[in-house]
Amino acid sequence: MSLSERAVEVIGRRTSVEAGLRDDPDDGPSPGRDRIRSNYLDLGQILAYWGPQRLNHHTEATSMLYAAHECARLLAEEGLDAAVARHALHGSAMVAGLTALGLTLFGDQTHRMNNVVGVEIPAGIDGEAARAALLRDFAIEIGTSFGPLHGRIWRIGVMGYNARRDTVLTTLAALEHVLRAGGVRVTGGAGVGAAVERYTEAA
Amino acid sequence: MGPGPIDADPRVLRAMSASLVGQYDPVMTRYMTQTQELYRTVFRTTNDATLLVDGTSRAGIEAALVSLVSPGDRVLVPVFGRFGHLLREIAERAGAEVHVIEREWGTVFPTSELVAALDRVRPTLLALVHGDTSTTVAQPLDEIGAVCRAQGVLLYTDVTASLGGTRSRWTSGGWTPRPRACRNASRGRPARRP
Repeated sequence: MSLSERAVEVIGRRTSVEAGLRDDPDDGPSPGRDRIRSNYLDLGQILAYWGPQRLNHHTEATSMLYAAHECARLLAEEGLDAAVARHALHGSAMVAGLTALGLTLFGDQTHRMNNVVGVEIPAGIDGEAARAALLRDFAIEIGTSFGPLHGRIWRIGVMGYNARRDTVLTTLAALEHVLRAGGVRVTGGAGVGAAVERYTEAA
Repeated sequence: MGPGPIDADPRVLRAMSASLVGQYDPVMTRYMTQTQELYRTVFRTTNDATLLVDGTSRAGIEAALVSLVSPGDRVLVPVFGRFGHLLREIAERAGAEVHVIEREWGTVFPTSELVAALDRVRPTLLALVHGDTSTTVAQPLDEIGAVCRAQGVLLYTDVTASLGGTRSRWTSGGWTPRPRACRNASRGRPARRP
């Protein structure tokens, strides 16, 4: 996460140094101060560990740090604008393919996220059985949603390492098969064809 | 092709299989410093306080809210999907006086509605999801940071699912997010206390 100087000031008024680490007894929590209620999630203490002071707090989760370091290197090498453009391209290809399969997109499309597409589960299809078939027969996972949208929409991610042409086209081909098996009338090859067309336009 | 978690880049999996080193091994502390600098690039920020909170994104969300919000603070939470409800729950558990405005799932708030709610509630902090994967739509953030700053309101933005995917820059300097596959934030001026 990233915190502005003003946020750090607010946190600094509420944090304290743990007993056993204090050089100055005044660094402990004082009665008048509104102490942060969590120790593990005390951003003041976490900042003191990440900062030049390196004041011990938790022990940093080493393998997780390696992963986060490599994730950021990948993004920085690709460039943030290029990464967003990649998600926009593959997201739009997925949208084109789903639409050509006769499915209805969910939500305000002018504010659609690039990296996940919501689509209504067509009438007559058991959404969970379709998801299970995609996973069993094609090793492809898609999601449903929560609360009022559970069982009403599928959510198809086009995210990170999965935002690629091959994953988009394979998913559309597999979904076409599952829809047809479930009794939905679909034009053969329509999803893949529309996505390929989108890629051609963008090239 | 789920909405997360997803397949990781093989480079990330290889990095995770590297040998562990001690907490204060110079290699480890150097990685920590490099990671902070890398995430300043990812967030396009010069914020010195750019760091990891160990855990899933929810750990980061909770760390931000429990550290920024004092019991009794007024917090405004616009809800347009499941993850707005999460911000509400965490702010309530932190003891905040939480004010919620809601929109039908699948839609977003016009900026004017957010501004009107800020004027009405006068919160210490605005907690706002950017991309809510439960509905697959993203709340526009363009002007809201500047409004919060002008009003002395802290802005916390959850960009867990959108960073690096849906938006690459936030104009008007009114935000600050947080890392990993995608992450959250906080910015603005601190709170006037009643």
